[in-house]
Amino acid sequence: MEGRKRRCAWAFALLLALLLALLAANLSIGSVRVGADELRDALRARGAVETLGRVVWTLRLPRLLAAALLGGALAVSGFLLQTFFANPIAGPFVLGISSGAKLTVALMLIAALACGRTPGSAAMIGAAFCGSMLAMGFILLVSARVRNLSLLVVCGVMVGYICNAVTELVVTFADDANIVNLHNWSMGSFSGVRWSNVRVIAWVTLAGTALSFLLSKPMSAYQLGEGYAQNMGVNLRRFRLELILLSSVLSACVTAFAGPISFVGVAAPHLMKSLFRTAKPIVMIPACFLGGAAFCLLCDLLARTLFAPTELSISSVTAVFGAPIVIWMLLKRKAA
Amino acid sequence: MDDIILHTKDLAVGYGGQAVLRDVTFSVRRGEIMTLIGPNGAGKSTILKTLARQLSPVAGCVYLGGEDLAPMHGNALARQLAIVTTERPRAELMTCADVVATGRYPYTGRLGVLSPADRDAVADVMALVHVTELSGRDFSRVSDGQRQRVMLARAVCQEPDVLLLDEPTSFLDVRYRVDFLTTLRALAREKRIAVVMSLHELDCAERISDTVLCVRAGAVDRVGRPEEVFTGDYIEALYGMEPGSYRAFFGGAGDRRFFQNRACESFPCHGGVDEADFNCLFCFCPLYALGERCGGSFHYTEKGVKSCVDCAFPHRRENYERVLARWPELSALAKGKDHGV
Repeated sequence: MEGRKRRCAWAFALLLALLLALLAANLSIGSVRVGADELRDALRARGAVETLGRVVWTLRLPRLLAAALLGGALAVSGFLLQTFFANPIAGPFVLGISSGAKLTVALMLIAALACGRTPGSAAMIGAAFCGSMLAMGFILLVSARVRNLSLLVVCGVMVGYICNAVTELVVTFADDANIVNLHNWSMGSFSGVRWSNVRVIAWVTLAGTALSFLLSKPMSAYQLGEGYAQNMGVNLRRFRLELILLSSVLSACVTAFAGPISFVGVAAPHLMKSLFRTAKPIVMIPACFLGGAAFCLLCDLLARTLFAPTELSISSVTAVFGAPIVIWMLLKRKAA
Repeated sequence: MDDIILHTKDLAVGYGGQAVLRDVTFSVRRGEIMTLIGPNGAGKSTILKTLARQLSPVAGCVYLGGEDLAPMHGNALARQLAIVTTERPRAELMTCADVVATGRYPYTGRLGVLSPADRDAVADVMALVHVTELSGRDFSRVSDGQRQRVMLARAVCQEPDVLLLDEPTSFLDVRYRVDFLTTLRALAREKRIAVVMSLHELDCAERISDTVLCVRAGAVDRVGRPEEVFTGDYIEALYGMEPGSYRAFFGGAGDRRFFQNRACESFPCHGGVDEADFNCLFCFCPLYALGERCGGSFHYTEKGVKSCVDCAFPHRRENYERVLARWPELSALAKGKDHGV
């Protein structure tokens, strides 16, 4: 018991240190290298004057905050879905929920731009949430019919493909001026996040994570199985609804601002489980949030710097790290 | 009468408003064990699910401690009623102690953090069910028998008045089965828990139950003490078998309660003794292992099996209790022999 507590404390410390290091790296590394002194000045001046300060304050800081918050939200959303489906490879991207959100956001964007308006953060999240719920509804219908978990994942991937195809189609027929923007967004990227966005992102992701944390008790009961959870006094219907809504809101928020980001929702919780050697929600939810944040910061750093000045889409970087983890998990499951 | 903790009234159970079983009426007292027997698909699990409120009754009521089950608050119910289901718990990265600790769920606060008192309760129950040595083991890596014990400990940790178990011994070999049921009986008596369970092993049901409830073809067929239920050809009738076929396989006749093992390679090893005289301990003679010192006369067959001629404990039914009463002494003797004393 004591050993386990020590492990948790140690893992959290490690995670925090990693996160801080990545935050600092993300601030200073880029097309312009920013030293520690300059960084301090820039942060103090809040980007008031020099170019360097402006780069840090208006470009890098919001971007890295968004990457951290959204990465955390994705990981928590993935963990909620994994609990719900009792399947370690469930996640918003794998189940096609991100793609559903992407489709509705694309439709909304095109409609709004056609009317000559730029939609606000709330509208983006709202549209993404509708798409998430649609895709989720379909997945739930499928899961009521088939108990086979691999089949569920295959269905999710198919939903993802269909949504992507429709999105591509819509983007193709959009106005030329919007195509570039839409295309960048639909590939997934943290670029172009503004301070006003960060504020909304922080509210939604932190509130969503906090609410998920409050669900950690029924979640731990649910991990044993439905029958046992019900016997322990969990109101199953309400609990399931809460789980679905929270995971959808979290992943919708990500898709609305950064497009679909692959595999973070599966890879980060898995890495955290291995690091903490527990699946207890009360530990896993904060751990997933921190882990997802660190994971996305690292991936965003690589996406920005690897082939600078060309920027990679964030999804292609997360896939390179995340997909092998998923494959390894599938193989391990098969073996067990 | 106030000892009755669980009873039903005109209960009909089933799925989606369609009754599978009607007129399920029974009552269970604290410290008693009621066993549900009957063919597959007769509705034993449906009754258990209804009692656990996983299904709502099609008609009638279930009363827990005299109170209607239906409007009870989830947490209040959890403190009075615990289950062990056939569901294989998917406990990822959980030790056996973690799994047992989930039984404290109804007693913990908003975030489910265990208090020192909860931890003590977990340790106590684990000792009681003899799983203390499994505490730190990964739950997904223990054997079926150990897993069932851990799940029993988890349920007891909930400090219930009523314990429901759905076929708890199905995957267990005979040793674990006897182990499990012995522990269960001791728990029921000691903690005054009413136990309702379904069993497929009729011999076990006969020995462990205070009440047996027989379920057949849409109705409860019989409720009563084991000796009232296991009579004549009733078992064959209950399971829709040819009359006499159960006994033809397992042996015994009339109202005999114990079965001969006709499948044994040495059957009948008690050559020359009237069959009616040794129906019970036929293959489990407690003196058998004592060899020379059992006190009776015997010879060894060609297969090297001890064949009793004049038994020191004639295996009559009425002697069974006497043998069991002397069992600790006899088994100590047998162990002494093993160690060459």
